[in-house]
Amino acid sequence: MVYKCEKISFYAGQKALVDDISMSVIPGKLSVILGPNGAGKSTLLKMLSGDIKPDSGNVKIDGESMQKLDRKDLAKIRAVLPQSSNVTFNFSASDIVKMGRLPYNECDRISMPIVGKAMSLTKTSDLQSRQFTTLSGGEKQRVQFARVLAQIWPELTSRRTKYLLLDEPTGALDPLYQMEILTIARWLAEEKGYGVLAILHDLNQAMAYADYIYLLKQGRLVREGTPHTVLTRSSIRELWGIDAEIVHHTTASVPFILPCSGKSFSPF
Amino acid sequence: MYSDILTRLHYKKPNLIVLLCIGLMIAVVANILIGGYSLPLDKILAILLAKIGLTTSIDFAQHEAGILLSIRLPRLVLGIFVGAALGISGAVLQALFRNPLAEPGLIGVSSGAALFAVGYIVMGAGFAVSFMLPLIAFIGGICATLLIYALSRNAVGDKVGSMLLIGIAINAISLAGIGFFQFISDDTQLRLVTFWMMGGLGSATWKSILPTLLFIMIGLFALLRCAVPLNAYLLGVAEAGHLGIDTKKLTKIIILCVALIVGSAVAVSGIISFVGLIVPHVVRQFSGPDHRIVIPASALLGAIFTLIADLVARTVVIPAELPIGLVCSAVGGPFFLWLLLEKNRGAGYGL
Repeated sequence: MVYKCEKISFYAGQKALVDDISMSVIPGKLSVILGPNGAGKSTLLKMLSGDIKPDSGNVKIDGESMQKLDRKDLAKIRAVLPQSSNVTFNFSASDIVKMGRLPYNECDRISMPIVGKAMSLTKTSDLQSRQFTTLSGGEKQRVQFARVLAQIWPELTSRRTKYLLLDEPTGALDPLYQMEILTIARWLAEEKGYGVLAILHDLNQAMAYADYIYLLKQGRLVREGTPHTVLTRSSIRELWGIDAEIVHHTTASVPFILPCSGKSFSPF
Repeated sequence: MYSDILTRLHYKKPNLIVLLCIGLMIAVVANILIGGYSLPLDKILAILLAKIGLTTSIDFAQHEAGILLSIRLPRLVLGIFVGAALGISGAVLQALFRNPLAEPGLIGVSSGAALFAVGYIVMGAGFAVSFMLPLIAFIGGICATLLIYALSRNAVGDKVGSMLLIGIAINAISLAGIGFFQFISDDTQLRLVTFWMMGGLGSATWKSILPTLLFIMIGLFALLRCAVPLNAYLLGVAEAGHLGIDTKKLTKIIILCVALIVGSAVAVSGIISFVGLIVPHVVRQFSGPDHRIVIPASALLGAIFTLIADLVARTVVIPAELPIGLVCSAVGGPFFLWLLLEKNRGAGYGL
């Protein structure tokens, strides 16, 4: 059970957006991709999810190349939460979540309980009959998360490892929901053995929730490992140009990254 | 709490489809009954029964049977198919382009077909060889579609978006071509061209509409099967891909089917605008955006709308006839505006 990419690159003209990266989505772990803007995080995720084909290298699930897999089978074991959603037609929130069950070709009697569970897990049950287009950005994101969960909802019968890819899942959310979405992601990894991969921007979130971190800079994988070994003062200065203190607070279980000053920042 | 969702979704509004079927039946009866020559219901039944070998006590003249069987019925059947084709094309194109303004006229299918047809009228043997015209128009529609498809394949990034833009460009070029042909045509040709462009079902005979019916039927069945993947398409192209849908294949099927049915429709009836744009919107106001309902309902409402427009077109200025395209736009435009404004007043305008 491996979901990995081997030496993948992607070019826009001459420029390599992703340059020779090998990595894997580890079952049972929440892996996080970090890196400054333009590091190639989203492009990497798009290649992993199969949206775009790498110019070189390949993406494999269980030893089988991504392109060769049956689309429906792939959809049953791998779900992707996009950065933002643009739905202009008036579906209700539960209609949107129900679309997650599309690969299964099942009747409402089977899919609706799963839709209900996914919505209650993401605390969107109250929104079920609301029009999706009238929801706030954060509510839309949570409904989309419920859809993605419904797509790979744990089954009793299947023992296949499932994978969840999240592209900046916490962007539009309030702090409480940011924590909840990451808690659900962790729960899927720990309790259900899912391989979860998320792009995050908040270094402290990565420190608190990640099992494993990939650091990207200018399309290259510069460092990988556990949060403690990867998120150091030197790597933060190298990647983001920030001087930061790693603070250990007595009431928190994980250290806190406290940015002190930006490197040579001047607005004028 | 699930039971709440269950009941809501279980109730899939089949009643809209039923209502539309009843509406279509009424429109069909009205179209058979009403016309320049009055045919009462008992005579119509007698003619139909006689056709299948049953004799009745009601007398009818031979020319009355002719009016019903060779004029009104083929025209009626053509109206149903053309309306259904236009309604369904609008519905699937709006979903494919994820744009509520998409309609067959906009992506150049109709105008490509029209360009070829007009060119044939002006340059070719004239209107006399009428059975060639549908074929030429159909080829034009397919050519326009294939051109759009081929050009947008090289586009980087948003393929569907650039397809829409290329379609608009093809549309403009076709219209310029049509303008040129109108400019060089003589008075008789100009009159034919103008009338053909405004659209009409009047020229329908069983023989001339048969290929059109066949093509439209094939296209309609193929498009009905696209309903569920099209729902996912409304989430976004990448998202539909993640849900296991082959988005490239879906795009290809839809574009080709739309070219097939719209090209065939334009070929026999000219450009009937507005049906493709307005019908899916009206349907969605009542049914929501689920294509399992929107697609069949758009076909039904498209057929009803076209039949009513045709009825108006051929009865208001007896013995002459208005072009059906004119009626569609004149009736449809204000109605559509009213619908939009009315909806705006409520809980927010949604497509």
